[in-house]
Amino acid sequence: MGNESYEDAIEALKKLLIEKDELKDVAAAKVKKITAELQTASSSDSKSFDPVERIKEGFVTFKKEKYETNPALYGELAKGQSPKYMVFACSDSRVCPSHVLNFHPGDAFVVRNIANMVPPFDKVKYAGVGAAIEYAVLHLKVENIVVIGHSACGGIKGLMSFPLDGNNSTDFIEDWVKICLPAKSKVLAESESSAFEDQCGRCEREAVNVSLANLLTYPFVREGVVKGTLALKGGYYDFVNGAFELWELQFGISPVHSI
Amino acid sequence: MAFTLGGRVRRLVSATSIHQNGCLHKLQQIGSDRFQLGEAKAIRLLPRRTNMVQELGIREEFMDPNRETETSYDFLDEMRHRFLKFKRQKYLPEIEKFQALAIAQSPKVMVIGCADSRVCPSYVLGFQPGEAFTIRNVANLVTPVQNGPTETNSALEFAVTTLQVENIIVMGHSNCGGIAALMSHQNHQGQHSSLVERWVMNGKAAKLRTQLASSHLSFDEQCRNCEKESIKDSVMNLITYSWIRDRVKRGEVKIHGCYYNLSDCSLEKWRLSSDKTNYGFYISDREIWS
Repeated sequence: MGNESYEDAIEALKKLLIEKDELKDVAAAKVKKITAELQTASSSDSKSFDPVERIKEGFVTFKKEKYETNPALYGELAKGQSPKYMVFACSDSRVCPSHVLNFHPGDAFVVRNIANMVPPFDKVKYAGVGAAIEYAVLHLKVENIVVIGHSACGGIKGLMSFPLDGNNSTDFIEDWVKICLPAKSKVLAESESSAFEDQCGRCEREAVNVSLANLLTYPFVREGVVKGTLALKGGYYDFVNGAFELWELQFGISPVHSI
Repeated sequence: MAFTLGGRVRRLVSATSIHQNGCLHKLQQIGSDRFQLGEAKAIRLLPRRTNMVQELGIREEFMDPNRETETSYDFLDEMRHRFLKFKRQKYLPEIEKFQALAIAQSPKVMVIGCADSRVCPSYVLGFQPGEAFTIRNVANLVTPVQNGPTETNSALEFAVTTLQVENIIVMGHSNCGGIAALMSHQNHQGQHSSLVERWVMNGKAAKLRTQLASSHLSFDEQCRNCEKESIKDSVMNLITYSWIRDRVKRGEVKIHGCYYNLSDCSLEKWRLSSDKTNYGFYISDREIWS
């Protein structure tokens, strides 16, 4: 049964491509995408993926290999946490900071949302993000806030594709990604004629900058940065090329000149 | 390589003319006439009306170049070390898998976890790159649809409708600072509520149930109970979203709750099942692993 529908589908595709030659590139890209999806799905045992078994296995491995081999660390962590970093990372399954930056328990207070965005300070609308930043800066007293963007980000792609003219096709996604609309405007102004993928790549980095600037709208962040107790850094994980970029927002007072 | 963002921050700020937030408008006004591209590290972004001397303290201490550079390079070195470890131990040995992932992700699981540094869901539950779409916020709270947009529900919508994940796990944990703040918060709604208190008050129902049932227990024990009650509330709030509820009823999405106790390294998990007879939901398949 499965085979028939597969062969029918392939036949239909062949027929379409014979008739419409220009669709070959589009088809090639889509087939590549499907192959990639199937490849990653099968590597996590898609035949009978049982999430309960998966997390049980994961948890038991964690307990045996990490928890029980380091009782001193986990004993201390049970009493409290004092991470040096606060990290904003994307919810994307491929960019967990624990893997990419090798963070161990206790290292980093991590907030993950679509396209690792930091909205401007708003007590009502964005209380969740505000709470996380307030907790990290005032209670945990982190030394660095790092906002990490990444390649092939679905959220940024959405930002670049959605018209964002008020007629929303989604309940919440468009309202969220428009936080980084300044990044989109900047990229379109600077590189209108570039390929869409290039524009997305630039936007992914610019959106990190918008988030860094938005961090400064939180009074306790501004205070920490001015005092020098808090630093704001931006990062970009390019998993297509296996590279990582890092930069910082520098902030200071110039020497005073008598004029 | 750390370089100044002076010029770039300035352009960035002036491009935000469509920003609604009053604060950012002020930054914008100051930005355009205040700094030039030539002034290396010096970017002033504070509103004029602040008393600069009071806020900054001693200028020399602040401008100590050695201290700043040292911290920058330490940070750079540490991040480089961390990233290269990942690249050597994970990325390069499994390069084909990562190249396939670079084209598309198709995670089967979405996890909503706490931002707490000790409870990364990938670390504790062993998810590898590509397996779990992860949302992390303070106290792993999911608010109901009627409360309006939050950062969490846009991610929920993306994972369920676009990525079409098949499983949603809400993972709470013991010794949660957010829940402790909820339990110790006095119930008067003041203007002085901090952002943390405003956010964790979304778990008010869990707090009330906990206090009713276990007011005789110590504060710590009550917090443990509240952490578990809050997971249940977050799970039930997931159902308020029609695109989740419909898929759960059709059996396309399964919802699980789990509670990680970091004092004794145990994991309690259960499933939310839908009752076909009365269209309700109930908890099933409860297990504790330790």
